[in-house]
Amino acid sequence: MDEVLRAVAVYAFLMLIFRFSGKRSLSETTPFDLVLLLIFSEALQSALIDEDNSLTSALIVIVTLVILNIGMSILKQHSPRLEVLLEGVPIIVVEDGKPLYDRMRRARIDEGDILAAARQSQGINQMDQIRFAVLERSGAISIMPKEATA
Amino acid sequence: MVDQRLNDTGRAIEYQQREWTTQRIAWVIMTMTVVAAFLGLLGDTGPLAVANATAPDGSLQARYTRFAHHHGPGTLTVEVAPASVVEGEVRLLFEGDFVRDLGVESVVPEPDRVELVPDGVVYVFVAEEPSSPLVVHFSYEHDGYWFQSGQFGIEGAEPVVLSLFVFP
Repeated sequence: MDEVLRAVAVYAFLMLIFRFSGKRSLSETTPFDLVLLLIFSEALQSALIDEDNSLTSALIVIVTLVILNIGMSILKQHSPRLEVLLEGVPIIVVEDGKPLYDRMRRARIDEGDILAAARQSQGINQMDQIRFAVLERSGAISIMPKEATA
Repeated sequence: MVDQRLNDTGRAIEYQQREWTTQRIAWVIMTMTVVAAFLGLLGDTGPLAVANATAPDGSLQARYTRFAHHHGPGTLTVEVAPASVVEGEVRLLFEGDFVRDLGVESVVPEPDRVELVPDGVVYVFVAEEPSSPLVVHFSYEHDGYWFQSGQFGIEGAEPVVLSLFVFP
C-alpha cells in the first residue's frame, strides 16, 4: 500500500510543480534542465521506494505511475475543463506580424524564441511574415505564415 | 494498385484494433495490480498484508507480515500471555533456521540474551511485569523467496506456524 500512496503523492506533486513552473519550462530543455531532472529523479527515488529495494516494490511504483497517467489522460479526454486546468490553453502571441508583448512577457518568451520557431518550422525570418504564432499547451511555438502574395 | 492499398489499410486498422484491445486488457491488469498493492496483497503494508496467529494453547499471539518483499521491511509482533512467564523470564523459541531466513534486524524490547539450542534460537526476555502480557516487536528483512513458513513459540509449549509469501 505504501508504494501506491507514495507514487500517487509524487505524481500529484510533480504535476503541480510542472504546472506552476509554466509552459516554457517544459519546452526549453537546456542541458542544465536535464541535469535538474536527473537530480529530481535521484531525490524522488528514495521517496518512492523508501528502504525497500525489491523488484516488486519498483514494479508497483512504475505500474501505479503508468495507471495514474493513463487515468489522467482519460479524465482529460472526457473533461475539457480538467484539461484546461491541468494543461492550460494555447495562446496567440503574434497576430498579423505584431507581437503581443504583454502575453509574451507573462509567458516568458521573446521575439527571438518566436523567430527561432519560425525559422525551424517555416523557414521564415521576419516577424511581419507571421500570421499567427501560438504558444501551445506543450510550450512549443506553432507558426502560421502569412500567405505569399503573388 | 488502389485495391492493394485498401487491403493494406484494412489490415493496418485490423492490427491497430487488436493492439487497442490488448492495451485495454493491459490497463485492466495494471489497475488490478495497483488495487492489489493498495490492499496489501503485494507488499508489507495494507489491510490484507498482515496476518494473525495464535498458539493452540493460547500461550502467545502473533501478528506478522504475510506478504513480504525480498529484503524488504517486515514486522512480527508477539504478545505473550502472562501464564507463559516462568521464573520472571519469557523464552521464545524460533525453530530450525527460521530466524536466519526471517533476517531479524531489530527486537524491541531488547532480549536479555539469545541462546543457540539444538532446536533453533531462543530469545530470552525478562518480564518486568509478570501479571501483564509481554509485547515484543521483531523487525526483519526476509532473506527468502516465494512461500516460506516456520514455527516459533514459548519453549516447551505448542508452537505457532507462520506462513509467508515473499515477493522477489
